[in-house]
Amino acid sequence: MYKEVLRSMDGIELFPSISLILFFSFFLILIIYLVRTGKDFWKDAASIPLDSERIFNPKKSDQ
Amino acid sequence: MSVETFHYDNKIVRNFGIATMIWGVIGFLVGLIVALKFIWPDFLGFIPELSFGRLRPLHTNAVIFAFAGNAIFYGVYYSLPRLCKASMWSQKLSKIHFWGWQTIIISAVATLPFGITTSKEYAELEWPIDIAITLIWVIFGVNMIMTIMKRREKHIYVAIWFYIATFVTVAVLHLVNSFEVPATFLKSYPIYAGVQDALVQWWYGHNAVAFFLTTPFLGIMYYFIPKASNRPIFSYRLSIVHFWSLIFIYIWAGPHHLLYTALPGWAQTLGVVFSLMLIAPSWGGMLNGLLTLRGAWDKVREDPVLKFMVVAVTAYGMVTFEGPMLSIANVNAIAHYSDYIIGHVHNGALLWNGGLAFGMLYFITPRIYKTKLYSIKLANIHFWFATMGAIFYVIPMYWGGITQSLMWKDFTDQGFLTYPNFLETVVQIVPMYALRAFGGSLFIVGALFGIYNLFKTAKSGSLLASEEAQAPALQAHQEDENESWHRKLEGRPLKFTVLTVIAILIGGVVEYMPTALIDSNIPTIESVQPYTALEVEGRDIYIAEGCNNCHSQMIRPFRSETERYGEYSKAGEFVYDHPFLWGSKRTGPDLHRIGGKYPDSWHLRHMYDPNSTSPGSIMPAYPWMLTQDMDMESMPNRIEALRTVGVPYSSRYPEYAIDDMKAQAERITQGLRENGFDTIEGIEVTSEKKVIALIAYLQRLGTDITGENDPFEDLPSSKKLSNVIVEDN
Repeated sequence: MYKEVLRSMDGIELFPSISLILFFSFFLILIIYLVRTGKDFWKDAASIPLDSERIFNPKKSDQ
Repeated sequence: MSVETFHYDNKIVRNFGIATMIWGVIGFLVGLIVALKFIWPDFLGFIPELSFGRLRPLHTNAVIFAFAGNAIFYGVYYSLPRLCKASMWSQKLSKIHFWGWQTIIISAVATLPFGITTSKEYAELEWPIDIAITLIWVIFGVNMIMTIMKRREKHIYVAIWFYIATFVTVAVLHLVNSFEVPATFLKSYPIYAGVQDALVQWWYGHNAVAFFLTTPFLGIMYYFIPKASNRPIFSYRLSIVHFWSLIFIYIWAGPHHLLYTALPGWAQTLGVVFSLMLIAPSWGGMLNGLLTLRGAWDKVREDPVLKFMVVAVTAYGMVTFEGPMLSIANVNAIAHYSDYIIGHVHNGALLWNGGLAFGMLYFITPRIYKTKLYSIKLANIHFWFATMGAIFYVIPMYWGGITQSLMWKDFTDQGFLTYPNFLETVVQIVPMYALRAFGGSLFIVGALFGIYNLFKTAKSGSLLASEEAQAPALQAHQEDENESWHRKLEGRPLKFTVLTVIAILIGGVVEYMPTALIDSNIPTIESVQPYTALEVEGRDIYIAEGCNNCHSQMIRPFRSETERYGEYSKAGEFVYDHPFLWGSKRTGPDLHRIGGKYPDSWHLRHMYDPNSTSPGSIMPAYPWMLTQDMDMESMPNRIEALRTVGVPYSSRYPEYAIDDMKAQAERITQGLRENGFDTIEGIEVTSEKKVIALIAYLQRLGTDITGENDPFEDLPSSKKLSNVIVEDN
């Protein structure tokens, strides 16, 4: 049954290519975005596990 | 801003910790038992429930789902509430999850040794247990997602993304791979056949490694390495790229388990390409973990927690280098079916999963018991036993695997196989099997030291069952115009989950759909016919005994294989194989063209005592095949179920199935008697015994391609029905 559904879809052979292009663009945008935001932007997020016991003492030299 | 008080449930953490240790030791011991059977095939006698083919799936299931599974939950139930600054959403669901999961494991112990299995690797459990797994998994997921929804920390930390990916992907994998039609209470047939079944199974099998043994443990790494070293992760930005690229690429890599098989070439190529790409996110994650310890290596020297974790991440790096390399077709041609793969997986399982699991146990136990580790010295001893054990396990397997594989492929100057007798290549590497068992024993001894140490630690303190914590309430969502898009996404668990599902579905859909869609992917061979009722019974016995754990049914198109086994396997030959039985390891020879190779009497003697036909064989004997009766009663139901999954038996065939079985069994038994095999060692050979059905199946294997025989010829059904097989079902 599902084979019939798939067969009846027009242009289904393009779907894999579209998905590939979409995902590679996603990664490209992601990397550009991360480079642009810079390291310090993520400092608070990175310290969440340490923050939970309030023993985190960020030292610049360790970063 | 009001500060809220809440509690972390440490009791559920402790319970999962205890379960990790107990099931771990059981799983390791079963592993040792099966390892010893390679050296002494008659170790533990010939008790059906303790035979290699039945215990091997028990070992893999126990270490994956019981040991690693409980370790994952141990880590999640400890880290998730702390990262969310919230209690688990429902303590009741946590409890149901815990006991439900243990019940599933016990049901695996209660079925696999009794030959109740689907034969699909790491998905061996039968359909009622599959349903239970689905329910319990959903309970775990709901509890986790709801905890995230109720969190007091706006940002969802990277470890939690990996937990989310684990939950959704395992759910999808389990569902898709478990589509099966029940024939009886504990027997089902998958809706997929042959090539499609193989593709779906290895899409599942590979991603079970990816999303059960990798992503949750990466989440654990991202939480516990910063905790244990008291410094934030090396690069948070790298972890974002690591996450998205890993989950997207991993899902495509399954077909590298099926190189040179009858799987369509384009699917194999996709699998290879994506496997090679996997090295980038894997090493990105590995380096992120290790570089976190920059400037803190002095701590690694002293702290057993960090020791275990550093070796774990290092092993992860080795294994994820090895994986892509093994996916390159010509490397795979040598390593596949050999013990090299067993070495590869144990490098990952013992050191990566085992290392993180024990690292966590050493980290969490003193904290929830409000005490200090009983003995750091003993933990260090454990560390060395575990590391040396893994080395003694892995290196002999690498060595033995390559040695044997090269022997399989060796030709004399005259162009003949140098080792035409498969057995010669097995005997050659038995010393390696002995070393492997030694390595495994070291690992187990280490684990026992660890358990003793943790037990004494717990005794010296008292469990802080409910740990109080405080945090400000999370402000209601305010749209922050300046917030960047990924940061926004990280505050929205549901959107995040949906995107994760999309990322993992793409690969699965793109790989599977064309195989399902385009008929030319599986060229049909006209002379290939469904199995007779007796052969179905023989096949089900083959599955129940786990023969596929040591014998493949897939001859690759290499001269070394066609010389040894015969014509290479074609996709069209497996269209009625529900499930496929290609196997993944050749401890014994391939069986795809075994049909007609030896007389029935050879199989009879071989089953009773493999050494009588193949001196020096390490195959266990199956004397119970000659004393146990085959199952005739349920055959009509099984034929009916096979019809439902698409095998084109006539709608009236179930009525004649039992008659067919009896007639064909009688014919085989008669033939054996005529050749003087009335009895074997005093056991009378009669037509209702399992061995007769097994012989029928083995003699049928790989013979259809010649188009010379009609399997239903002279059977009662073909006399009564105009067509046993209908053209179009």
